Parts: sequence; C-alpha cells; structure tokens
Amino acid sequence: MRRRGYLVGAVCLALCAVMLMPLLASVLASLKPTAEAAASPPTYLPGALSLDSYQRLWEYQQGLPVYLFNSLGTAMLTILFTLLLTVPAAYGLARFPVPGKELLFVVLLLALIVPYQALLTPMFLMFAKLGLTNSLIGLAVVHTAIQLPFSLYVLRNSFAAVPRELEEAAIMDGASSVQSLRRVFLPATVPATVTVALFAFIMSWNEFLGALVMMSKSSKFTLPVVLAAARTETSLGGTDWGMLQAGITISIIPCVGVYLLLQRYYVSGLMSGAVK
Amino acid sequence: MVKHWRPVVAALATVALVGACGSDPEPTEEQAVQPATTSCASSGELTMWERSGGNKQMVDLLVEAWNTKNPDCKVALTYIPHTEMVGKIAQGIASGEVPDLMGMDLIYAPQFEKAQQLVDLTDRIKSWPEIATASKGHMTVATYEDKLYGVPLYADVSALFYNKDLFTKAGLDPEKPPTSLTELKEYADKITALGGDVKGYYLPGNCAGCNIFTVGPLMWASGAKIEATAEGDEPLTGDGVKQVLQFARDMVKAGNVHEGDRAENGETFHLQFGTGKVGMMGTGNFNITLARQQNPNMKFGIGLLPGVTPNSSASFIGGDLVVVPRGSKRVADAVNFMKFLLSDEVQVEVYAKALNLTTRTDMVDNKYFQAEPLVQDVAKALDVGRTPYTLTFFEQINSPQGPWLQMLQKAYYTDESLDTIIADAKKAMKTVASQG
Repeated sequence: MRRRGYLVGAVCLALCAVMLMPLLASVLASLKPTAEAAASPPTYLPGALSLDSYQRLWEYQQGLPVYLFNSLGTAMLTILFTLLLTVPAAYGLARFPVPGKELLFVVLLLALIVPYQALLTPMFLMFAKLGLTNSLIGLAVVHTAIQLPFSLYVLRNSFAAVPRELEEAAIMDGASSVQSLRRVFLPATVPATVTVALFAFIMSWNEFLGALVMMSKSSKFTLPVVLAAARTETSLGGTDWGMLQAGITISIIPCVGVYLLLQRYYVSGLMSGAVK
Repeated sequence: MVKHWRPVVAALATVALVGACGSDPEPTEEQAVQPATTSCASSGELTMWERSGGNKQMVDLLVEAWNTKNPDCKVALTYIPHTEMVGKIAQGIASGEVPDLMGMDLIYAPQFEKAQQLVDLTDRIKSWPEIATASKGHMTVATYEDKLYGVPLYADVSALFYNKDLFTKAGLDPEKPPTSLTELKEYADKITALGGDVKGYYLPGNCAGCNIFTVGPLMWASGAKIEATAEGDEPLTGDGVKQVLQFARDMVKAGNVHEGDRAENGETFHLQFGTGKVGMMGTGNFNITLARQQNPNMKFGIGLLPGVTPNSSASFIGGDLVVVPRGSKRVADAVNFMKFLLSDEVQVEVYAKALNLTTRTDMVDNKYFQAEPLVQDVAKALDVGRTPYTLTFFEQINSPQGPWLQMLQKAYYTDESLDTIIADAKKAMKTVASQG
C-alpha cells in the first residue's frame, strides 16, 4: 500500500513539474539582469538577480500602476455587468414559463459560435458615436458581451439543478420570486456564480484585441496592450525579453490571487442533505 | 519595417473599410495658412501616436524638448504596439478618432498617401529651406504625386559594423573595413579561421526586414534594383542580385556565419554584434549604443555596406516620418512641431547630443558628432542611402512568407540554381505589384 502511495506522489510531482516549469522559467527570466535575459542561447538559472526588468516596466510611459488600475477596473466592471445581467436571465430561463424559452436560450448561446473579433467592428463604430471608446466602462461592456453566452449557460444549468422542493418550501413560507432568488437560489448556486465571476475576470484581464481597438490613449491602455507595446525594442522585431517576462509575472499574480480567494467557494456536497 | 502583420490587422482594417462608408471623408482644412513657427499656434494638449519598437529614446527626448519649450500645448505621446500600428491608424482615420499628429514607419507612408488618409502639407512646408537638406530617403516616401505629407522624425540607417578586436587578432588592419564584397569575404574567412565560436559574418536567416536592411544595400551598391515600384515595373534587375546571392551562399558554405543565424527572425538580431563573436555585420545606427551597453570593452568600427566594385556602397534609410492624419484638428500645431524638429537647435541639441543621426544632412558637422567618430562614420550612410518606394512593400519584401525572404533562404541554404530562384522571385513580386 505504502509503495503505491509513493508512486502516486511521484506521478503528481512529475505533473506539477511539467505544469510549473514554464511559469518558473518566466519568473526566473524576469529576475535576470537585462543582458542575461536577452542572451542567446538562454541560461536556465539567473547568474545574478536584478529588478531591472521590473523597473523598466514600472516606468514605462504612464507607469505600471495606471495600467494595473485600468486592467483591474475593467475586470471588476466586467464581473459586475456579467452578474447583473446573467443572474436574473438564468433565473428566468431556468424557473419561469417564458414562452419559447428553449429557442431563446439557443439563440443566446448562438453568440458563442460567432468569433467576437467579427463583432468588434460594428461595436467600435457604435461606441465611437456614443463616446464609449477610451473608457473603461465601454471596454467592460465589450468584455461582458464576450462573456455573456458562456456565463448564461453555466448559470442557467446551475439554477435548473436546484431541487424544486427547496423552491416550493420558500413559496410555502411566503417568499416572492425575488426573495427566493436571494434566499434560496443565490446561496445554492454560489459555486456557479463564482465560476462565472472568475472566468469573467480572467477573460477581461487577459483580453488584448478589444482593448487595442477600443483604447487609443496611452493613459487608458490595459496591461496586455502595454506589454505588446513595451516589449518591442527595435523595428526589426527585437524583443526585450526581461521586460516581457516581468510583465507576464505581474499579470499572473492577480489571476492566481483571485483564484485562491474564490476557490474556497467550490465546496463539494453543498446540496447534500438539503432535501430528504 | 514591420516584421509581421498579424491577422489582427485584418480585423482592424475591416473597421477602416466599414467606417469609410459611413463617416464623412472631408478633411477639416483650416481657413488661412499661418506661417509655421517652432512654438504653438493654439493652446491645449496635442495628441501624438508613435509605433513601439521605433527609436523610443529619441522620440521621448524630442517630445520632452517640445514640451519644455511649449508648456501650453504639450504633446501627449501614445505608443501603439508596433505590429498593430497600420490597422490602428486605418481604424482611427475611419472613425475620426485620430491623433493630431503621428510618427509612422516611413516605408508605409506611400500607401497612406495614396489612400488620401494623410493631410497634404505641400503649401505649408514645401518652401522651408530645411526641407532641401532633410534626409532624401524620408522625403522620397513623404511625397506622393508631387504632394508633400511629412518630414523625418528620426533616421535609422544600415552600415557595416566590424569588430576591431577580432580584426587585430586576425591580422587585419582595424582602421580599414572592407570596401568590396570580395574583401568582405576574404576578411570574414580570416576572422572565422580564428576558431572558437567566432564567425566572420552574420546573415539573419529568417527575417525579411533585417535582410532588406542589411543585404539589400549590398545589391544596391552592386547596381541592382530590388522591388517593383508599381505594376509593370521589373523587379530584381541588374547583375548585382545574382552576385550578392552568390556571395551570401559562399559565406554560408564557408562556415562564415553561425549555425543559429538561420533561425533568426529578428528578435535577437540587434543583440548579435554586441556578443563580440561576430567579425562583421550589417546592422543599424541603433547598434552603437546597444553594443556598448552589452560589451563595454569591445572596440568596433563602422564602414559602409559595400558592393561588387571596390569603393561602391549603399545603405537602407529607414526610420519614421511625422505626418498628420486626416481628421486632425490641430494641423497648424502639427506643422509647427515639424518646423521645430527640423530647426538647427533641435538638430544639434537634441538629435546630435543624444548621438542619434540628425535628420538634415547639413547638420552632420556638429560638436557632438566631432567628439564621436562612430556616429560620423554611420552618418555617411545618409548620403549613399535610399528608401524603397512601393505601395506593396510588405507583400513584396517584408512578409515572412513573401518572395524576398523565400529567395534569400533558397540562395543561402540550398543548392538550387540562382537563376531559377531569382526568376521565381521576380514573378512573385510582379504579381504582387500588379495587385497593389
């Protein structure tokens, strides 16, 4: 038995090593002095530690804090908009006799198969007229639109899975539909809501093309756009690897942070015992 | 010299196309043309775009100098990711969300001029005395059908960098760079013979832009012509094309270049010379400061890129132009910024002081360059340099899948007949030019 335990441990370690290797390489590269980060062939371990790359990135144009703020602001607004729209929609589609709701649901999901790059053009022109370009709210609306179908899909299924008995008990106690959403459905669907929020965050945080199209002032750029601009050193394609890796390292941190923060909501067996 | 356009550009370009149908295309011309000065005509922030990956250090200094002089109309600079610049400009012009002025990779200027997306500045700037001595390469591409659209922002020229330490070791005179392709080959053989991981020469094997920058001039210096200017124009003419391809093939065969050079796609091109392991290399003036940072003890010199005949030479003049996109609301101030860039004071106290090339050839003789022979040497390239003029530069030359790079790769690394290789590339370039 013990031998088998070791074996499982070894396999897990090997898997972790494979998964963590690129991350580690990236973090290590960001800590190399400028010349070493650009060395070809690259070195595995930094010969000396240096924060040069971080400093260059920190001072780039408007300064890193501005870009972090833009990225974070957009991501938070995206989460907010996504939840505000999809929670009621999912509740309605899962629990109420909306005429033609299956068709409606499918139509909403259809947006999943349209590449959003194709939607950017009309969106941009519309936003330019509305004055929503160069605005975090405008970009968050784009990101919300991208994220809606997936979120709706996840939430609707999760709402549908809440046992009817729970809902009936709430009605028996005199709860209105809004009350039962708040008191019964939302607590019961926390894992799904968290998933939706997490995905919205990660998507918005990493999204490049929409941000590039919508923003044309350096004070409004988000992190991915800045990284694309900051890493190019020469017009022939020369790349500042150290700064790029520093940017990647920094951009990973919030994603990992948010994930660690929210993962405790993934509790298994939340529903077990709720219904006899 | 954009290395590769991504599909992203296609998405952005669609924005431009759709937008062009809807928005009103009339440029906002100002009432009366005021004579240009080097300070602001109206107050309020000026917005400017520049591509990333250009000469950021130089542009930052220029903008800073303007802002110090003109606190009432500071320039707010935004760097646009360099691979997305063309699409972003097109999108901006189509939607009317344009900056007041912008820096543009000079090679793409003719395309935008032809599409009437830039403001015609002929009446405002043509009579300036500074224009007469402004970098020829820049001014060629700033002109379309006798109309002027911009002035140089900064210049990147190519030249032959050589490692004096390796020259001395190989028994060569460190004050005499090669002046013909034959000498270049001969010197490279001697340096490679030093052994170790030192090689005599450098050829970027997978970077179209690097090659037009550094191998193109070898062909020009040998009397050849490379790109097809427009439909019906014959590309790749002159014996120089074949002679240079043969020269490069011989270099590779003789082991005068590192094996790894074959994979060079531009990302580490600028770092090669500074390693100290390359005897001679065609590269740009940006490499002076860079090589010094990388390898402070290395001694190096700069010559011109030679051709077949002794003492022939050529150079690729690259860099950026300042232009005004259609729809700019501050044309007069943009023109004043141009006047400012070309003024004697800025040429000497900003460009030359930072050891960057002056954009006017008559300003090369200044106190800063006199103290820095390397910059003087590289500045000579401005006189022999040129800039390709074509509406399809990307498709013919710069594309990683384009005929130019394909021709070079076959010449460098295969044994196919050079005549066939050239004929194939000619055909492909002509087809592209006829579609432009």
